[in-house]
Amino acid sequence: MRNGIAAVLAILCALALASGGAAAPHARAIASLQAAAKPASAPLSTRVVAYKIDAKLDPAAHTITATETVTYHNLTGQPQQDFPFHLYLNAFQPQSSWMAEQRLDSPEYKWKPEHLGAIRVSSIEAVGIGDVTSTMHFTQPDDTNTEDHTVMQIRLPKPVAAGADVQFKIAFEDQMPQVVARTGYMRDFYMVGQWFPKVGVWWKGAWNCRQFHRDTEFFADFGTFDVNLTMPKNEVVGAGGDLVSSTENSDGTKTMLFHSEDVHDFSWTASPSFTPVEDSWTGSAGTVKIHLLVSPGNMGSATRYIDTVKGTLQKFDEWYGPYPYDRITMVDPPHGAFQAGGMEYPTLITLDTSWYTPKSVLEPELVTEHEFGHQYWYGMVATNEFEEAWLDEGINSYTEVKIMDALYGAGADVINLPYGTLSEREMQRLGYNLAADTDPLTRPAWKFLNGNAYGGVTYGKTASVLLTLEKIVGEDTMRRALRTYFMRYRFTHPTGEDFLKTLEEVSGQNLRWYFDQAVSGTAILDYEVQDLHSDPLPWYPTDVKSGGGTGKNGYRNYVVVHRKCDFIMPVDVQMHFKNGEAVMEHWDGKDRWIRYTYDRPDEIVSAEIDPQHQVLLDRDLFNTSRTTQGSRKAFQKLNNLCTFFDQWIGQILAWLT
Amino acid sequence: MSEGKSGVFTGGASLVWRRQRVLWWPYLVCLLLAHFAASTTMGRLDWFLQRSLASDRLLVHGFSFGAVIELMSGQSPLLSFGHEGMHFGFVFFFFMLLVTGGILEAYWRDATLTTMEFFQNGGRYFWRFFRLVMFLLVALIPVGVIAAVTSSVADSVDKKSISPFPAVWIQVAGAVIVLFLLMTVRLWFDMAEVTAVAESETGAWRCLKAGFRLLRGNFGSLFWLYFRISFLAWLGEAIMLHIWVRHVPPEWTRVSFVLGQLIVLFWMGMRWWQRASEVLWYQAHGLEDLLPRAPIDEPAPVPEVATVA
Repeated sequence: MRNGIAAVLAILCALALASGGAAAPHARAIASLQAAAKPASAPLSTRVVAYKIDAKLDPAAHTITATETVTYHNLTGQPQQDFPFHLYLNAFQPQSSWMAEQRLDSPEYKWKPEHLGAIRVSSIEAVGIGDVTSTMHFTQPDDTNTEDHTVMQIRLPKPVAAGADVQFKIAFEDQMPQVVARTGYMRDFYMVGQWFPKVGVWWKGAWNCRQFHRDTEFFADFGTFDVNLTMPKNEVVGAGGDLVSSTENSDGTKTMLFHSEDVHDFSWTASPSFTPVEDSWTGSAGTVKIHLLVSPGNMGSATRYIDTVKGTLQKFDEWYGPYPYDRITMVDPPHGAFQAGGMEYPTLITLDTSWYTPKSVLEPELVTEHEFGHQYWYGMVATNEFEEAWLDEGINSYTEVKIMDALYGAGADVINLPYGTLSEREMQRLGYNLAADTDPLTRPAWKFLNGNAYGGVTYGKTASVLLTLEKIVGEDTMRRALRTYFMRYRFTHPTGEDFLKTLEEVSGQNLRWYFDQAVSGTAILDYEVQDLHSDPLPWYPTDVKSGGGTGKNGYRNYVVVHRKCDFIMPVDVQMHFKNGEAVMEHWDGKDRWIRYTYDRPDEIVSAEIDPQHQVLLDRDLFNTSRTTQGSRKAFQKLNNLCTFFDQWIGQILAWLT
Repeated sequence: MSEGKSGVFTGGASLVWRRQRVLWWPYLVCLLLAHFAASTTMGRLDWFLQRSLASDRLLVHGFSFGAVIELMSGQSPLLSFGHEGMHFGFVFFFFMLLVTGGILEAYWRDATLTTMEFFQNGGRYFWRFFRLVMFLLVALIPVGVIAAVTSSVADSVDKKSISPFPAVWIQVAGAVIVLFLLMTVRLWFDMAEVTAVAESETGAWRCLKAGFRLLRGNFGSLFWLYFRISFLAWLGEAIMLHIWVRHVPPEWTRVSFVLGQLIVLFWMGMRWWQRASEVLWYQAHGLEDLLPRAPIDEPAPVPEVATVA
């Protein structure tokens, strides 16, 4: 999830885009989706679960009535009697842990009835065993809030043997909230995510079924989904699966059957106001259908969405590995449904734009790239988003930088005005600087200091850590390491350690010194050029009578580089002299400071740490270099701007007189 | 002395041009005060930026929003807009309150006032105008309420309507109404201030009533006069901002400064134009409207006021 960055960008938008896009009729969309449905093939993943869901949407009541049959293959290696299920929508209730965390960070948050969300389970039957509804109870593995109902557990009368299957039939009803935290309704728009009881993951020898927290996302096993969705005929639907059939019912509804496999979640969207746009892209694993659903007023962004997803597919295919699915559904949420935007589900992503996004602000491009990237870092490399969020959001933020740089040019790939720019790297650094020393990357998502710390560390710091790592191992090695990591761990649940070991293996280097500080530590990296000056040689007059002769043998030049904080990082230091000579030094950074002394015919003019500007983790951009001759241009420029803004404050107040 | 509608419009510009002194002095005060405020804000940055290669790379040859935000963020930010600017703003506000009387008097007489005369007049009207500002703040409360209600209605419609557009149109309509009301209220108080100067009226309340009567009786012509100049101001500002952002290279620091100051000066000039036009309008129409209507067979007495060339 993009975590509010789009909101910041939206504020910067000042001009309206007004261009149309080709809108394919609904019928064509369905036909193309049907064409995209592929026959069953060899499994890509270890399919632990199989869900069959029949669901009916009631748009008037904002409810979904459903029955679910989930088949669980017990591959845990031991008998299982207790089964936990996620009931994510129950987070949207006043007494939940999600709400408590929301209030902790934002005490001004006020409850409104339309915020209510729920999954109400009415019965659970274990097929062949009997009704187990009475064993259903809520558990709180992460805190002591007994009012939190986001995890339910059931107990079977007898254990399911290792290697055997168990089938649960669950009847439930969803109460959809008005769009909040990725899911819900807004006017006639529905984004339905995390909407069905989902069984936990047996991981590291125990059930892993975390409560839904304000800053956590999701974790589930791979499997298959067959989902029948019934809703009014006029709804235009998109889902994270192939459309197998669509039949119209006599009561004015239609039923659409979707099938999806080798995925760990299923989400869908519906709105009569969507305009579908179809396109395709062909890569190393075949053709991918691009199914874009555009909300009213946003057609001007359609081309931008499509171009970006094609470019992103191309780069991921080239750099990290093939995209094996035959489709990607992209949902453009309507005006006012911002919280449904910028979210990833397997083979379905939600986007974000605004009516006034100028082409120089790459908001739609950024969100599209980021969410598609999650098809790799979350969708296929299915890490535990609760406990190691940096592995999906962070790695994805790193690849976002690389791909946005490749697609739109490094240095100006977020805001690209003639007068000023904001690059992806800078944006990630800003996130990192928000919370540079609060939490390590490895902290579980619900245990961060606050939302800013979670966002800053998980997205910005991870991206900065990996971008800085490029300096140590090289950009090509990083790319090979990520490709190896993806190809090796796709359709599995790797851990942070798996990722770090892959980096070490591919680079052939022991990188623990770096990981200990950057990944599992909170040390700050801040190097400065503390001193820079020249002394004439000789410094004293050789002609005692005239006092002349000073400096006739050149200059002794001094540079002191200081490590201000605890993070130790080898760095390059480049010195320039008046005659154009340049000297490059390499310092291991282990001591607290180092002094370089040079006897040269000319004076030193500048010294710069990290002249290639690769150490993004250095917290202060300005003290890593120093010159002997000051230039006031930057100061004057900022001073002029500051004066200008102050004058406007005066003008606004003077309007009252 | 009486001028037609276009005469008042162009005559106002001409009057501002002839009496430039009363524009230049407030502009220079505005620049100086803002410069001092900015220097306070920027003081710590001077040495810091002077000796860093990053300053040149990120702020001179280009303008990195990221670098500026970094300077503004952190636990002890080196750059923070706001406090000093607000302090300056309030000082400038009181300065303008002090000199508005002098400016209007110079326009009313169409004469160059001595510094003594200028500030004597400013002082003479200071408390009257201060009271008018208090009344203005009260008059703006309903405008604020209308803005809040519009926003609330738009939110409510947004939740109930199937289309997102009605709420947006409500917001746009609300913004237009609020802008219209803001302009109307400002125009009303402008006329009250002109009345105070023209009639040497000491009662703020009586000035307000006179201003209201003038506005009610001549709303079309007065509003059109005010709106035309406002429109030209917005247009000019938009063009200059466009030139600044799109066509001035980031490293042209001096050109940027000059253009920025032109933007401020132009804005002030347009506001002064409104003031001058209102004075001329009052001289052409205002007194007749305020005085009891004369019998048809007897011509209305014509007051002695300064003529406008």
